[in-house]
Amino acid sequence: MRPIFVLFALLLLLPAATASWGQSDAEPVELHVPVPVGWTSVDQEYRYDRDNLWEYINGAAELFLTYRFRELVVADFEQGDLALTVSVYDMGRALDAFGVFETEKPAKADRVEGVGLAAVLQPPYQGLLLKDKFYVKVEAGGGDISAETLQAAMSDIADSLQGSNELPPQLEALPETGRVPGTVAFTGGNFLGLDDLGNCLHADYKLADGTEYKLFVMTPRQAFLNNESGRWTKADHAAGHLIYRQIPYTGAVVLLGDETRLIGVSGLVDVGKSTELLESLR
Amino acid sequence: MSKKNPEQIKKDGLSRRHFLAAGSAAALGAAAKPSLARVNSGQVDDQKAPKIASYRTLGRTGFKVSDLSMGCGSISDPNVVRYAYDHGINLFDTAESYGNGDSESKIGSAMKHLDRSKIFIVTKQAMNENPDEQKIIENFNKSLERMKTPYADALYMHSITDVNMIGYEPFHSACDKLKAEGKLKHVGISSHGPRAEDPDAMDTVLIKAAEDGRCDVMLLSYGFVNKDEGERVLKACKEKNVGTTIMKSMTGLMEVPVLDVENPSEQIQGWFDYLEGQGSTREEAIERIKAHIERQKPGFEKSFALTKPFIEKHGIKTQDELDIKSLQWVLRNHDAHTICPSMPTFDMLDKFLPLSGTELSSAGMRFLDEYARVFGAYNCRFGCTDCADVCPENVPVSTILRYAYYFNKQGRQKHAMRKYADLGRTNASVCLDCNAPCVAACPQGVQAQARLFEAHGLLSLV
Repeated sequence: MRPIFVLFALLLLLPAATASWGQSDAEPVELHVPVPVGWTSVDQEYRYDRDNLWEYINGAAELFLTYRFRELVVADFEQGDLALTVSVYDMGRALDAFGVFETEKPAKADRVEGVGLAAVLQPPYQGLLLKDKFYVKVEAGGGDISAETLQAAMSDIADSLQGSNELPPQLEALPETGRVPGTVAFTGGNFLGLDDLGNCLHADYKLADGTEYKLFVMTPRQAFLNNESGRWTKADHAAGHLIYRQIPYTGAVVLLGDETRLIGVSGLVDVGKSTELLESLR
Repeated sequence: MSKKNPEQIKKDGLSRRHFLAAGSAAALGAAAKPSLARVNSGQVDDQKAPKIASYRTLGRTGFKVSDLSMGCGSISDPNVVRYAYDHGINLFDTAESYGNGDSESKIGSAMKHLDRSKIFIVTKQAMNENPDEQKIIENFNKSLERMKTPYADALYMHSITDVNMIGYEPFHSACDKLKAEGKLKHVGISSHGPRAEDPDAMDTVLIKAAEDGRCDVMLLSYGFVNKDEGERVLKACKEKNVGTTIMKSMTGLMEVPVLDVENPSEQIQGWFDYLEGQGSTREEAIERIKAHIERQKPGFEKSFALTKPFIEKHGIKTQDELDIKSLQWVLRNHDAHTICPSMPTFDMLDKFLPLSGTELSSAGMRFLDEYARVFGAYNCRFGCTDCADVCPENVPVSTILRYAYYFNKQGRQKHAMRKYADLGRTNASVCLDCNAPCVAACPQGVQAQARLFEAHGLLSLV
């Protein structure tokens, strides 16, 4: 084996890195789809990575690729005339799994308590669950499956997946005052419809006077700080960087912070008011 | 980075106290951006914003569709849909599977700003699990609910790779019922192109679908690289007056790696990240990259020499420009009624909207024809596996060349090298002493052995 290949192998076997903001949680264990109790595997597992995800989910892959998606493992199970297809997405980090779960979770789905970190059911029937860096889709195929049966399968799957049922610690980066409950989300790319805004943790806010806006936190790339796209304006500021631009319909997007973290606001229209808000949060 | 001058600061609604008192006069006096006088109104200066300039009839639907339409695969903000509409785009292509319905929901969020009668909405359903008629109808109704519309203009069978699915009866009977209820206007089909395990290629599926007669519209892959396959489908569609929507039309790349240590290109930065990630010092990484470029120099220079005259003649300087020319190459073919690139941001819309109504000049056409001619034999069609069974060492030829593509064209050096390392001993190191039956087996005339040598050097950084 060539030395470079040894290095590759070592690289892949390295233990988990830190879980701090902007870094990934490396895992050396090969991912398999857990077999729910009472179900039998049908056929082999199928694996997809960033290169061939589109082969399985077509254009839906675009969304996953804006996150740190690593691998999808799919398996089919049967129980009598019932059939399940279980898709386990390794999203690289708990934060990214949280982001895609919140995006794909149907607004009207029924929340299921006690399964993973979060889970929902949508008749007739799709189940989604979140646990650590895993986002799982459980879809019923043939037969007339009950909610209870599907929920039991989801619970088995969640229990078998490694990792924590705690919310990603990064979510604490957003201030609580004025935050609209249930609006915390993490967007992998194209946040606010802008090329330059990726990996943004965000939430909606509403002040007592009715003013509404979005706050977001991101770790900036150097290319963004350098304004390589040429779309932003930068002013000197004690915080390090004050960067802003206009977007259609909502007005100013303003970011303030240093090389490691920027906090931004959108929806206040005015650059000055936005800046004052961000300064008050520092 | 442009800095703001005092006058501009006032216009932007910022007070001087927002800035460091110590901010240098030079910085504050630097050239300001164009006027942002309307900054506090929440409006943007839209006078110069490009708009759709050309509309074409979408086959027998009779709908006049913008020549550029919107692929909605990863929209994160409904205002992008609104912006596209306000700038003349009137076809929105989504699917229930895009974001598990989130893409449809984003369209729904924008719907109050759109005139429903003036837009054409396509959604799609996968047929993988052989859904029955009732499930197709239920899923379609959920799509309508998410999109906040009483009807869709077209429902496609999504990504069909088997001609036997064209006549899938539950889908067609569901569509008949939905049409009768006024919830659906047209039936369609999409196919993505050749993949190793697919029973049938895109052109086989879509030509058959056109002949079948039940599909009014379809979505296909078409660009100057897969010209022949796409044009066979377009010809069949024209004969049956089927509406055509084009995806995956941006192809090709031209770049020669040059080591600029102070300002490395994205490709070179990827190499630095990989090597330094392994523990190399900066100096060691520089030396290894230098050596790598030197080894590959003849191949790089040869390739660049072939394209340089055309690049200069047509003023093509960047990958962006090649993307644009590629889109214009499709736009010049009016049998392709609309192109729907993924445009999830305002910035991408601003980039592509000016192309509406433009077509590649004849000079540009010649350039791309020549590019395809020169690189046709250079580029492996990765979905093709015609050479798979002839290699005595079972080297996965198209797979290795695909990894080289990730490395060279997608800027994913680390990923490509890891994938290549994962192949273990079945890599291209064994190709040196082979009489290369893969070359004879290639229907495209790709000089596979030479490409494999290059790929091995590239991916193993030997």
